[in-house]
Amino acid sequence: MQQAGVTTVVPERRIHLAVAGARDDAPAIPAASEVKLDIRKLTIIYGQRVAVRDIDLRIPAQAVTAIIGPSGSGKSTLLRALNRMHDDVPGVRVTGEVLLDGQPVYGPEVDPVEVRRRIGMVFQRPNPFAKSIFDNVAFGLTVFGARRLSRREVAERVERALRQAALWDEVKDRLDQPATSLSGGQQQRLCVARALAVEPDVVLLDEPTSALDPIATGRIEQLMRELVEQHGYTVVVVTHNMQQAARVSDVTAFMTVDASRAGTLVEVGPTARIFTNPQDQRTEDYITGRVG
Amino acid sequence: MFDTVANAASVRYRRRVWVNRLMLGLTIGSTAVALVPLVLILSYVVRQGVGALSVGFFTETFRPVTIGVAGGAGGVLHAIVGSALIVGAALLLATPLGVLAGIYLAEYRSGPAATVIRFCTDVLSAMPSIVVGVTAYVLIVQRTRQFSGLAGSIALAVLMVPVITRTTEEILQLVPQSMREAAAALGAPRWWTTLTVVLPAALGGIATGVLLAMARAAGETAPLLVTVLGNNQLTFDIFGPMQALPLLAYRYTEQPFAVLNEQAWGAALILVVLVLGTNILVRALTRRRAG
Repeated sequence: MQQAGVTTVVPERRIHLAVAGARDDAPAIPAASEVKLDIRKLTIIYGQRVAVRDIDLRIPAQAVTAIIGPSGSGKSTLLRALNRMHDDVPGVRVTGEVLLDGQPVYGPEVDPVEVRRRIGMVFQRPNPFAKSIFDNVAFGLTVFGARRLSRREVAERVERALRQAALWDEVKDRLDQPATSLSGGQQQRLCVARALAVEPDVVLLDEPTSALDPIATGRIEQLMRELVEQHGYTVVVVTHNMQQAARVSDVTAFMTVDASRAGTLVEVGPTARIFTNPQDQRTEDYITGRVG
Repeated sequence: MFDTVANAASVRYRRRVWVNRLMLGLTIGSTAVALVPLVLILSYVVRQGVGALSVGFFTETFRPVTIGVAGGAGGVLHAIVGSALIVGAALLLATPLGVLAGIYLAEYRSGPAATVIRFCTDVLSAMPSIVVGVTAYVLIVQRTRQFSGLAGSIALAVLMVPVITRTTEEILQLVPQSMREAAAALGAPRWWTTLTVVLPAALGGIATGVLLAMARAAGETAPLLVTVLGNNQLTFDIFGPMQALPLLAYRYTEQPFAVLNEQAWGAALILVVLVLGTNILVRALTRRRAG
């Protein structure tokens, strides 16, 4: 029963929130759980070493999915496979399938640029470019090969992204200042805005708060909820902070290291269930602090 | 018994203190000795060269000197113009080559080609400048049957390229990998990332490398001796023989005329100020970048 995660999970909390969202005139969120990302038999190999093996996981649409697990369990490796970040790394092989809305993410006819436009990513440490705040957010819109937008359209989308990332009020008067003049927490929200500007469906966050203080962490967590509840994004967050997973996510996936030291998915389910009634002994050991 | 232990400990402690003082003294002394030549050179060049400085020194060219006749001193304008043109042309040749090679090594460095290039760059940067000069003489001057400023520029460019290449590579490697990742995650092709993210972030550092390479090349004499030849007239023709500051300093020190000897010191002073000024400018640039 190791692959309990194969069954599609219905995030209970999300349904509840969807109702709340409808009352707030937010865009109607369908109550039935749609699968946004369908991961099938995904295996990632670094050179000779199998980093993660045979992952089957369905990421529900318009919900926060948290991937937790001890160091080395391949959480980040799995996350980075979802928008093909391994493409540029020599010696990495990815087998299996990832489907985004039923369409393959991997395959010779798929343009990785298009995949990355639809699946944005925020990294562990804030990594703004050595550019102005505005140019950071506009980067994905003005990148070579992107659809040409007028100056006004770019400005509008920068503003919308900054508003969605809850940063607009803090930076609207100094958009031309270098991004490095912002605090660490603001920089991370800027990186969220930068990912949102290209209007993706999915936002991947790789331990987005591990370099931030508790207050900035709280803002990022609140932001993740807002992205789902108010703006309809699908969020996948890797975290080694179990409290964070419990606070922000609708669905939790637990990964660990198997006997051959490859990352493997143990169990996935509604967050409340994973934390109160885990089905697998390894999950229980981890969340009760007996390992990891 | 406790007494002897304590004694032994205190003896060891005192020894340690003395060894520490000795080593500290040695390092301070060595630093001071190493600085002596710099101070001596600076003060001597300033003392000898300052006398040559006048308005005419910067605005006039060579004026013939005859033994027994008190003549006007003339100036070194032709050498200043020559140096500026020769080094400027060298800069134009070396900067794109060096920067592009540095980008290749830093951003697309995998495989044996990069190792070979890096090795060759290191060898080239250690190449004696006279070897480069003689090679330029054989390959350019002899073939065109013409000493020229441009031949000197090419020789200087060969000396500058490895310096610019290695600084560019090192500076680009300082740009965090996470910026490249962020750009890739936004769908940017690799070359676009290099051009719009990595290079702008490294621009200050690359400029520093180019400036230092320029300052070094401006003071080179050996490669110019056999390529530029020297010229007593003011000329803007880079395809013919020219004068340059280090060359003029070298030639004038061999002259039996005190006036010219003094001008050699004046030329040396200009070069020293140029090197010093470049280094100070570079320090200011890098400090601003860090701060």
